[in-house]
Amino acid sequence: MQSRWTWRLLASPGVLWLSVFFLVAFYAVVAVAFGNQDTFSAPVPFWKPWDWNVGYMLAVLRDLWSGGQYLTVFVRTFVFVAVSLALSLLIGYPVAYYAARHVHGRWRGIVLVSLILPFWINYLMRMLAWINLLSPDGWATKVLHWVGIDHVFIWLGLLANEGGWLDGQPSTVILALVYGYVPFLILPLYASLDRIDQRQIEAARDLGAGPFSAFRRVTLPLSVPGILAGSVLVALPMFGDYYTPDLVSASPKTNIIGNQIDELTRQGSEKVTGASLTLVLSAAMLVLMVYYLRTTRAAGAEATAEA
Amino acid sequence: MIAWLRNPWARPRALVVVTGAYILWSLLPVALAVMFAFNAGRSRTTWQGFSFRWFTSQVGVFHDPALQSALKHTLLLGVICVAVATPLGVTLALGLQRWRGRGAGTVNTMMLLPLVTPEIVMGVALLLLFLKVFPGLGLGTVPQAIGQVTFTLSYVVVIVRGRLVSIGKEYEEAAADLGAPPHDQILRVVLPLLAPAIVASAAVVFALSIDDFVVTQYLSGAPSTTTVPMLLYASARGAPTPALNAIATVTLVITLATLSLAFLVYRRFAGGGDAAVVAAMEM
Amino acid sequence: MATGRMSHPKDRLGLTRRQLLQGAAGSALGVGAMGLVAGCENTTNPIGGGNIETSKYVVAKPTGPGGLPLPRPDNSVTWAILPDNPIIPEGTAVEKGPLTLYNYADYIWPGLLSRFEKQYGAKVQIATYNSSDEAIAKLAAGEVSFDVIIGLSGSNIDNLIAQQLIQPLNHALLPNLEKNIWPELQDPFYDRGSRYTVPYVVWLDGIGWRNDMVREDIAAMDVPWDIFWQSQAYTGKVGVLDDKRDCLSMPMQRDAMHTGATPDLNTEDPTIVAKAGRDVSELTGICNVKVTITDYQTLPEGKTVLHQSWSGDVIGAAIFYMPKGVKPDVLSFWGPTKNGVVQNDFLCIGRKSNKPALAHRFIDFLLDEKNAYDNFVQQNGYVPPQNQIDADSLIKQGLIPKTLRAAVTRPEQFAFNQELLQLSVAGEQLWDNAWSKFKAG
Repeated sequence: MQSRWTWRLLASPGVLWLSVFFLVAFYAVVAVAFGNQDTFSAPVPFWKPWDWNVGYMLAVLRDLWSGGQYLTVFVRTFVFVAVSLALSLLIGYPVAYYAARHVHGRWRGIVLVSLILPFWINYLMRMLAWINLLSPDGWATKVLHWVGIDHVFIWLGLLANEGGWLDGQPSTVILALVYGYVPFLILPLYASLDRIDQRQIEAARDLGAGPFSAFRRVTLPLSVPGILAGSVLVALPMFGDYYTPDLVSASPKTNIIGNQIDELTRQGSEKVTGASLTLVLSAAMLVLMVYYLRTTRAAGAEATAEA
Repeated sequence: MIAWLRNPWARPRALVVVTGAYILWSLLPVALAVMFAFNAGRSRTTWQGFSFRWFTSQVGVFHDPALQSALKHTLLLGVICVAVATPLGVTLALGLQRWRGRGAGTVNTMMLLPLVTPEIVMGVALLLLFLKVFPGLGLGTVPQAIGQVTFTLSYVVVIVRGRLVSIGKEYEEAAADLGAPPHDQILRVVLPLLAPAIVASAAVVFALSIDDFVVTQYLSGAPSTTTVPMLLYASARGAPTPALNAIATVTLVITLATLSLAFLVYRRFAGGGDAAVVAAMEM
Repeated sequence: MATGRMSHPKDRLGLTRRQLLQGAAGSALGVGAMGLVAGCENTTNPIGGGNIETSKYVVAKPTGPGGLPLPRPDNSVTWAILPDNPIIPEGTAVEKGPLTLYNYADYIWPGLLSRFEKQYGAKVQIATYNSSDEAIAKLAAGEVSFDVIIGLSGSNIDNLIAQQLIQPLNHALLPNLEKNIWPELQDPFYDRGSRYTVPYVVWLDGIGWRNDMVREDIAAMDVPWDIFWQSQAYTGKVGVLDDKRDCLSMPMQRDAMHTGATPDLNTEDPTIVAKAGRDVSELTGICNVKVTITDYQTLPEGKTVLHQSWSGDVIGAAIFYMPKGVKPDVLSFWGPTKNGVVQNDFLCIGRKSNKPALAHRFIDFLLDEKNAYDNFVQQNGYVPPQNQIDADSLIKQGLIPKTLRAAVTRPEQFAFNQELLQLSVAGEQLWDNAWSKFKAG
């Protein structure tokens, strides 16, 4: 048997790489967030924790506490992500269920490929496609008008005028987020539903449960870990998204936290605030991240134990 | 409805419709975008006839210097990323899988973190890293490549580990019993068995790299470091011509070709690869 | 130290601290050496000393980044040529391409670039930026060495000099500057002697709209800026410029027009800036305002019907971006006759550019009358400050629709209007704060 040092040595280039380009990079954000800026508005990081300047971070926290602009944006982000996630689950779960439990034979391959395909098509190209379709003379606009959906949306207050899909509407942004991220939800759901043992469902049916009841009491609960894992996997990148609202709506009304961070860190004189906001966002995501890491580690440990 | 109740294992119609509708909704817009790449006119919403002009003419993908440069740079970054991330990831996966004792958990967490970090956080972090810690490198190709490797590394590790798990230790142990030294065991036994997974992860890294937007944009420098996704983003908000659809189509074709090739290789050499593929997908 | 270059007696000499120290050290050494040689004092120079504390007696003008003076019409600045950033010698060989430009998108006619390539055999590559803030941040951050930078203005010059981002120009290589450019802009207050910059185009800030879709006669209103705050009927189709200075100056101009006062569009008064921010934020609720600089496309396509516009955008829209079947005279423009924003931007050469001779050649190429004219009428739409170009005749010829007469910028307008200029660090932060608040929705 090899000494354990063989393996550690083997892993060390990767570990070194991640330490420098991930951990140190993240620490750079911390150092800038607790740093200051010079007269050219260039950020000056304070590397030593005892030198840290909490001024900018406190200003951000104060703004959040008192309901200022950052709180507005954070709340809006949470709402967008929550609604998009709910819609994605509504659309994705039935599709994943069907693909996992009802498709057999050669159809399975085709369906699987169709589900994986969007994963590999450039996200921006998919959004671009929708911008074309939703422009005032686009096909989707015409179809939606013909079917009458835009009247429903106007009546619900979700759309301002006919054909105005790209005019800074939150509903368009949410639909774009759903379109963009639902493939990322379907795959984990599929994997989890695929693993459910058919025999457990059969047992329930044998014991007299009807098809709905079997689903509700056996399949659904067993798929909950997959739902949670998939939701986290989708929610995390959604929180950091800024290009989707930028593409389908240029209005401040739909700006989410990613837009604010992007605006502040790439130009102007508030780069330190941008770094502070990034830290706040990461802290908010920490709960989700930790949850996901623990479940994957558990699954990984299981798999290793089985090996 | 009644028929369904009588035979509960038959395919429920409603779900078929939903899935079919979903697949259509999911893929049709992209198909239309590809179609308009062949539009004869300037419009991206009105069909004006079939033509190759957005590919072959002076303003098309194969001649316009800006589009060409973006395409070249995108592919260059893809190749560099694969060349660096794959060996790095394979060694990390091997080391991690067999790592016993202290540190294994921490390293594992560190490896998984990039997968769950929002891209903008990574973009800002890397930007500040290259501005403040490594200012000598500036911004441009090298930082872009480094950034891409950093977040694709985890995908390699997860895919390779999945395969390692299904291979198990028997072959190595057999080789050890036969007297093979440790490095031989790895090089001549494990690596060849891992080959399909390595190929699969290389393809994944390539696809992720050429589609990446946030990190690549944050670390971009001179105009020659513009990539296709950056071009798509910059032009999408204006009034671009179908040349944009054309270049997106080209990158789409490249990605799909790479992935199909990798998938075929994996299928052929791995056998029983479904479980590992599914495991890889649920990362 | 004065090196014999032209300078106006009223100018501040624009010395950097480094030069002062170098000069002081030099003269100290010199006097010391002389004293040693002479052995005793033998001088008719008055004794030094008796210096007054200038800060006590003079009202300090605001300073910008790095402590540099902020150029203002009444406070012109000559930027020194530093020894470590010299003018390139006249005989420098012209380098091979490619030449890299850093520019706004769609701000130079591509035909001009092919013409340059044909004439001089050097390819031209463009990188684009969306706002001047982004450009400065990118230039300051990276090792990127753009050769020619287009589109920055007097509101950025301090940053460019202070962070040493540009190099001085050799006028011997730019004969077209003196020949063709308006005299008013050959020696601008923000860069006396045009040492580092030459003008590109001029414009004024105003309102562009579709007269076939907007019912109101905006030009006839008492205070045309009010239309934005009354634009509920056009919700989702109204836009303001994605530039914090241009956009926030709009409510300031509006208030001033109402009260008859003269606004200071370079103000650092926190109350005024905050109010401007609040006023613009109101627009989000009133008409779900968009924040873009693509009005030159969205107006012709009808995606926006009312937009705060740079005058050149609207002319460019009329010339180049009209969709099939839509006549250019559906576009209208109004700009204030006084106390508005009339400005020019400039061309400069990146400090780290390793093709300065080629860059000079490109700049001179752009200053050529025919090239500037073609750039203007083929796509750009912004009036170049060329003596020979008479924009009025273009209106007569029908190249520019009559409805856009107000968009043509003339040299006289500079006298009655203001330019958006660099602010002090605290001032920039004020505006940045108001802007990001607005952008938070």
